[in-house]
Amino acid sequence: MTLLEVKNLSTYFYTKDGVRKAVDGVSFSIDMGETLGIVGESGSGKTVTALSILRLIDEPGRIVNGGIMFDGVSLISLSDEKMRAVRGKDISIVFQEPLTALNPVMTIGEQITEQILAHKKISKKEAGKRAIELMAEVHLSRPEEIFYEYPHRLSGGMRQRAMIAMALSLRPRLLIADEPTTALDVTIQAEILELFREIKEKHDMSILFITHDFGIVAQLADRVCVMQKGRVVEEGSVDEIFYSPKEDYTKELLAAIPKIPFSF
Amino acid sequence: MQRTVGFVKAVDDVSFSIARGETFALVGESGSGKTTTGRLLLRLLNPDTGEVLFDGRNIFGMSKKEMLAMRKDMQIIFQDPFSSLNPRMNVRNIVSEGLIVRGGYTAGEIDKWCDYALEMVGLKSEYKYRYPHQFSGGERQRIGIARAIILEPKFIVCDEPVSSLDVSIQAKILRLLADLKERLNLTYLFIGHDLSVVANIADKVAVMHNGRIVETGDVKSVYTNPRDEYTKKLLRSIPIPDPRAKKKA
Repeated sequence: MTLLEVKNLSTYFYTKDGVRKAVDGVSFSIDMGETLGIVGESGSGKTVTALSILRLIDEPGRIVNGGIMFDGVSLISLSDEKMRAVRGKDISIVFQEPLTALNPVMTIGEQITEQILAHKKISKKEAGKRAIELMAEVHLSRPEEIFYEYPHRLSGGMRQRAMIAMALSLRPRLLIADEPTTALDVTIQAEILELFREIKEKHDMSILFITHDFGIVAQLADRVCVMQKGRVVEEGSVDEIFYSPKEDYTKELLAAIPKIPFSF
Repeated sequence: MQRTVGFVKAVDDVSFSIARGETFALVGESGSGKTTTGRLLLRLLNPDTGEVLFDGRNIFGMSKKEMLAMRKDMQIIFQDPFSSLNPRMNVRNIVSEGLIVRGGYTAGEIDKWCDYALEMVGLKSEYKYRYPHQFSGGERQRIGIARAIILEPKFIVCDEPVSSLDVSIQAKILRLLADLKERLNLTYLFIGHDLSVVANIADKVAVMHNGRIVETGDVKSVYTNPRDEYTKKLLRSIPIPDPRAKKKA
């Protein structure tokens, strides 16, 4: 069953140097419970695609064409108010840099509870309890203490877990993760990917996972979209993309992955 | 060697040797001390204790004059192709800076050396008169490499030279580095955090953690038979680009 359907999406940026077609006629869909990996190099349009789905594109950018259907509702034609209700509750996002995505002058606890209270009519105390449950769910040790900490006091991995806790707080149907481990050390990355694997198994949630790393795609995605210069070059199941890629660009990217020349 | 910054031991009792013609990799995560070590080897920083012997001579014991001669033999390639090139200098001046600073070359000679260096890295000689902002990340990295080889060094510290590049460009730059090593008889210290990249380019590897070396050996042995717990953890963390090698939750 299809949860998200993106049809012919085009998002252009109108700058004084001309038009930049960041996303140019992109179509894909995500089923319920499915993890779609969007993989591409820098400038491929993968982040702008994610931001377009959430209608977070600001001037000089504009969605110029296309449709985005989420559970039968057209997101493009929603009012700002209704879209705000969708963000965080039905579709949430985890960004690459938790240090810039988290508010530096609010404690972790305050930020998670604020997120919950914006969408749910419960008491502050209840929201706080829920926040601590979520923090434990993402394996933040000593959540009752971390609750009162400011982002800069946490390590990169912990901040990312806090961001994931926030993203999960309202049990969204779709979680968008935009290069969530790129800024992390490789051993911490492995832990966060393990967390995503766990979330995938436990919750009936769809995930849109954006990355440039084929290793991550292989580990997490059910299906893959390869993007280049604002377009989808190839789409298929993770097995199809890795074992029988059709397009030259896909083959080129796969060939460029540094492979360890012996088994270990 | 040791360099203490306040109370953080950035590099703590680190010892290793690199044989001529070898590519020696230093791997570790952020804060491991690998970049500081690289800088110490070139005397871009001074240690608190320890020595670096280059061709048998301790670089920290050298005079300014001896150091100037030594610097011809030891060069560095930086990670960030955007901040490592002076935006106000054209390519000719960036690449030939080593020659210009040393003095004694005519403009014509400098042009010839610059053309040679650019050709070695696969860039056209006309690019001499352009500025960094006119090039892509991969091309800028080539300019940085041209700058490093123009003095015909023996040893180059490559400090995460491909970490900021897209994967398809990474492959090209790594091939260029391997190619130059053969053609110019170079020895490399390759600093990186990506174990897959290191496995392809290095002969020997030293794993750093919290300022110390926890394991050293030739690449195949360290990867197939790691002895240290941290090395094992690092190897386990590599996401394998093969869907059939999926780890279980």
